[in-house]
Amino acid sequence: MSDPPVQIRQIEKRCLSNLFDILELHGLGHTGGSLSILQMLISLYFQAARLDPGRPGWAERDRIILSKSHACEAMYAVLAERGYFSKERFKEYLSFGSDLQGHAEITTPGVEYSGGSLGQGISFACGVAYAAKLRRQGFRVYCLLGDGECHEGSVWEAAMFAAHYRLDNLFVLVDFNHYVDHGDVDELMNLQPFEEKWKAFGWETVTVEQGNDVQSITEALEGFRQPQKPKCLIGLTVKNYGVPSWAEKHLHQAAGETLRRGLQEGRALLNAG
Amino acid sequence: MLDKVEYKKMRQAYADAVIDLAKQDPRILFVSADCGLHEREFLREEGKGRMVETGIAEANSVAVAAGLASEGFKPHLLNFAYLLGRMYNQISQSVCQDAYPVKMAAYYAGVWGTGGRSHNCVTDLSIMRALPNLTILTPADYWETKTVVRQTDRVPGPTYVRLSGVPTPVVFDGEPEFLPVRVMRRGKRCTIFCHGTMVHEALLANDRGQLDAQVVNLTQIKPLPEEQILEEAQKTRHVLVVEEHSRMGGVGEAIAALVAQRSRLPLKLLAVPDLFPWSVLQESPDVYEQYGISYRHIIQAVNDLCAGDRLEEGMLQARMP
Repeated sequence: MSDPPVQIRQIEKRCLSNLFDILELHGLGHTGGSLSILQMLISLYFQAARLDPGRPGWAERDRIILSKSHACEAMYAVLAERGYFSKERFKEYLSFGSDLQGHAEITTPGVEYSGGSLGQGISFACGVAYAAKLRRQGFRVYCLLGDGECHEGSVWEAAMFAAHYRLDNLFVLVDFNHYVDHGDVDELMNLQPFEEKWKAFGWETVTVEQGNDVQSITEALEGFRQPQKPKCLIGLTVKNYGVPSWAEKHLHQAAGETLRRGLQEGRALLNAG
Repeated sequence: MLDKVEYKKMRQAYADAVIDLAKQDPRILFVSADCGLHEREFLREEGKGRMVETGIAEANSVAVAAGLASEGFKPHLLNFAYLLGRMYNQISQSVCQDAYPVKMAAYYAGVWGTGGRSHNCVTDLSIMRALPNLTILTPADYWETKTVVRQTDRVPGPTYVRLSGVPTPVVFDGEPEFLPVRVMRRGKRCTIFCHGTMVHEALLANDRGQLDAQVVNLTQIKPLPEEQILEEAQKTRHVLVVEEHSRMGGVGEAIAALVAQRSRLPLKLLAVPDLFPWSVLQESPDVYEQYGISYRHIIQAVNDLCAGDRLEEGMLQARMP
């Protein structure tokens, strides 16, 4: 671990502040899924993954593939904090022709996969992990999925593939924030027993109860032990973590007055904490 | 020569060409969703992991190939043309959006095949033409399939090669050089643009109907070689497009749009009607005849197009003293 807990708490606060800034700039965004995944991204970019922001194309870097790329606001907040680009560039977000698109894309320094349509990033990550094995390269591949994204059949096609080829260099992190656009994820289409499903597919699996705690995520990532198995970390998170009024309503996106008030609330809590 | 035609499988040529490329370049992989002929055997035995099987999971196979390509490999991916629809979202987002060099090919394209309406695919070009960054190539026969597979290796981005599923007439004597647009016969009355199996059918029509037409094999469908198409079209006074593909979204529509905007030439399209083609055995009655794209239809279409010319010629003769 590169940073002690106190320091990582400061980083988390700055990232959350960045995220609020991005959401405020154009008055809209995927608030729910960005706020739930922020700590997982911080764990990867500041602790778990081997990276060099000065050399985004470094061949031995760990690959971080954001499959649920609608959480792009969280991604931009963390990438800028990690030094991939200047925070000045937040203002380009969503602008025509900008590198900071409405879903994370490889045009942005540090982004490894252009997503948008769900369920594909894990397949892409399988290809990258397989390529590393073919070339005997030692880097890891991290792939971040949403819980609702796991309704997609192709996620399970990829899960089979990874276990079949013993891709133990592949680490999936599921942001299990319990809510999709139109309600409770399991009420909409039951995913349970979720951890058992991954196990049955041949993955080493762990559920992290405190999915919004950076340290817990990092420790769980370091705790994987079984050789020749791909790894799945299920982080139980809170959608809209950090803004209680949004979390209460399980908002997927926010705009207008809801956004303005939520940002006020979130910033007040941030400053108090 | 056209009466004693030899039939050979494009699929065989594809496998041979992929193996040739793979022997020369260790970056070449074969990604299969339970597909393939001897290229899979070759890469399994010689390739040490270069044969990447995904099982019957087409959507996954495409995005896996994109991931491999992002790491510097050149994956070749083969499947049935009718499954392009199932892979389409992955092809669009994971492959084409960032122009990863995934070399896709699909067979069973066209009206011939025993698989029936689910399998005989005549809509592949409609969907694939709409994808930015994609190069689309349609070989005319066994020999040109080899040419085209080699060409995919020279294209930096993603490619799609359209193959027939049955043995098709051979129109070249050996492997030709790659040309996006190739004039197969010179003629004065009409320019016939065709691709794939229709190249043989157009040559047959030209000979049997004594059409004096210019037969142009369009091997590169995308990017459409617009200037060369217009140049060849303008050498004659009429244009006919014939293709073993739906009339919806095929090359016919592409050339019609081009000609309508850039020249005043009369144009006619022959393509498969708006239907799902039925199962058909090799020894069955000619389905090209059933679907209106046989050499007889081509003769008729050229003669209809040029009827005005004959009328003009006739009137000129009548006026002569």
